[in-house]
Amino acid sequence: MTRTQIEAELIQVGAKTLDYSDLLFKVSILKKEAVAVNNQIEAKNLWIIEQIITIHKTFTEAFTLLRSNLFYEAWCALERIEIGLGSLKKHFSYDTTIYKLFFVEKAVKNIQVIYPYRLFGSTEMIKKEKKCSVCDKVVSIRNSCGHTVGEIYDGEECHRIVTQFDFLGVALVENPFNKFSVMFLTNPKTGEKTDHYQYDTVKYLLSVISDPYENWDLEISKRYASHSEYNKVGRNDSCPCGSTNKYKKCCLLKQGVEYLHYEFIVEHPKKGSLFRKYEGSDLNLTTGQLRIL
Amino acid sequence: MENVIPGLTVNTSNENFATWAAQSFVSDDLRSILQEKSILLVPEIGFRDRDIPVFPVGTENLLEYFQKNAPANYSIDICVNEDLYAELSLHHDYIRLGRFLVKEIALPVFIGLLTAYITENYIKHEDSKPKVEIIDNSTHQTIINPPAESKPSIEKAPPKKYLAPPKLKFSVTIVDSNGASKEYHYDGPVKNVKEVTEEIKTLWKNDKNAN
Repeated sequence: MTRTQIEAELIQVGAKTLDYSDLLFKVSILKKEAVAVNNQIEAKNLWIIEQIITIHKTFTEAFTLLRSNLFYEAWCALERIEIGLGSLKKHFSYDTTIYKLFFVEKAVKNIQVIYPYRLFGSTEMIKKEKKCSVCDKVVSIRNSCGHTVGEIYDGEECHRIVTQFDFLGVALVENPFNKFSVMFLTNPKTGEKTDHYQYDTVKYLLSVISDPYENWDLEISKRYASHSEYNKVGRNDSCPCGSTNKYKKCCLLKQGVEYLHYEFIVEHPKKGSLFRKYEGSDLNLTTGQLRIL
Repeated sequence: MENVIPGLTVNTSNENFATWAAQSFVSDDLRSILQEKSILLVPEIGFRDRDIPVFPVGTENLLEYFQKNAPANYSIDICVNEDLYAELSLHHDYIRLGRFLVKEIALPVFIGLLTAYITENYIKHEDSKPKVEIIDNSTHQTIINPPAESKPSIEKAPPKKYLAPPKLKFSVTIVDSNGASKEYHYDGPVKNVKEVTEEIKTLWKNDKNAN
C-alpha cells in the first residue's frame, strides 16, 4: 500500500471503521523504506500520516474507556491526543474538515471542560543533563548537535531525554503542564487510590453519543441562581459561586449567584434540559465557534 | 516600582554586563566575551534556596532562534559556563522565557526577536485551537429582577484554568552606554506581548529623555 492509498483510506475516518493498527503497521514499513534511502521529505510525510492515525486510534480508544467508566484512563488518552495534535501542527496545517482533526480537537476540549478535575500535582525539578533523542549526544548549550526539538529526523520527532536531574518537590496547581497528574484520595486502610470524583456530566453525554464521530457540541452559559436560595450564607462568607471572594463583594452585587450551565447539542437528544437538537445549520463549524443565542 | 499596564512592572536595577560577567559561574575565558555581546540570557539564582544558576525549560530553543534570526552585527549569548547550564522545570502551564540583559542599542532588535518568537511558538498555536466560550444571557428563570440589558454578551473565559490560554513571564534589563539600567518585568496574557514590548520601548525612551 502506498502513502497515497493510506491517505485515501484516512479521508474516510468517521464515515467508516478503519483498522488503525493495520494502517500504522503499513506506514511503519513505508517509513523504514524512506529512511533507508535517506528520503527525509517522504519520511516526514509518513510521520505526519502516522501522527494522524495515532490521534484517531487514541480518540476511539478514549471513547471505549469512557464507556467502560475508566474515566482517568480516558482523561490520559485525551491528553495524549492533545500532545499529538500539538506536535502535528508544527508540520501540518489543517482546516475544520481535513481528516476530521478539528472535530477531534474540539471534542477533546469539550470533554475536558465537563470533567470534574481541577487540582493537579506539578513536579519541580532542575534538569542538569539532557541527551538528544536523535544522536544521543549530551546537549551542549553553546554547541548544538544540529537537531532541533520538535523537528522530524528519519521519520521521528526530535526531543530531549533528561539523564540527570534534581527533584525539588510537587506543587498543587489548577493549570498544570501535564494533565495526567490528577490528585486522587487514598483509602487510609488499604492505601489504594480512590476515585472520589463525580462524572455525572460526562455520563450524561455518553448516554446520547453512540459513536465517537457523531456530531455534537457543548454550549456553556453563565446563569444566575436567586439569592433566596442561599439565605443561609452570610455576607462575609465565601461566595457560593466558588470565587473565594466574600459574598458581599462578589455575587451579592449581581442579580444572583453565578453558575455555569452546560448544554449539549447532539444529533439524538433525549428529554431533559441538558440536551438540544444538533442541526447542521445551527452551528458555525467553519469557525468552530458556538452559536450566539 | 511602577505599574504601567496590567502585568508590566518597572524596577530600578544596578545590573549590567560587567556585573553579570563577574559572576562565579562565568569562567575567566568567558568574561570578556560576554561583555561584548548585545543580548545576554541571564539565569535565575536562588530558587528554593539553591545557589545555582538555572534557566527555564525552552531556553535551548529560544537561544537557537535568537542566534539564527538576529542581524549579523548583533550577538547573543548565555551567561553561564557550559558545564553549569541547568534548566528549572516547574511544569505549571506558564510560558517562562527567563531574564534578558539587553544593551540599549540592541533594544529594537531584541523586541523584534522576542515578539516574533512568541508569536510563532505560542500565539499561533493558541489561535489555532478551538475556543471555549461562555454565553452570559442572564435569563435564568428564578431571577426576580432581570437586568435592564436583555441582549446576551459573550465572555471568553474558560470555566477551568487549564483550558485558559497560558500566561507569559519574562524580564528584560536594559543597559545604557554608561552601564545604568532598568528592569522591566511582565507577567500576563501571552497575546499582549506586542503591546507590552512597545510599552517597554516607550518607557525606556521616556526615562532617558527625563534624565
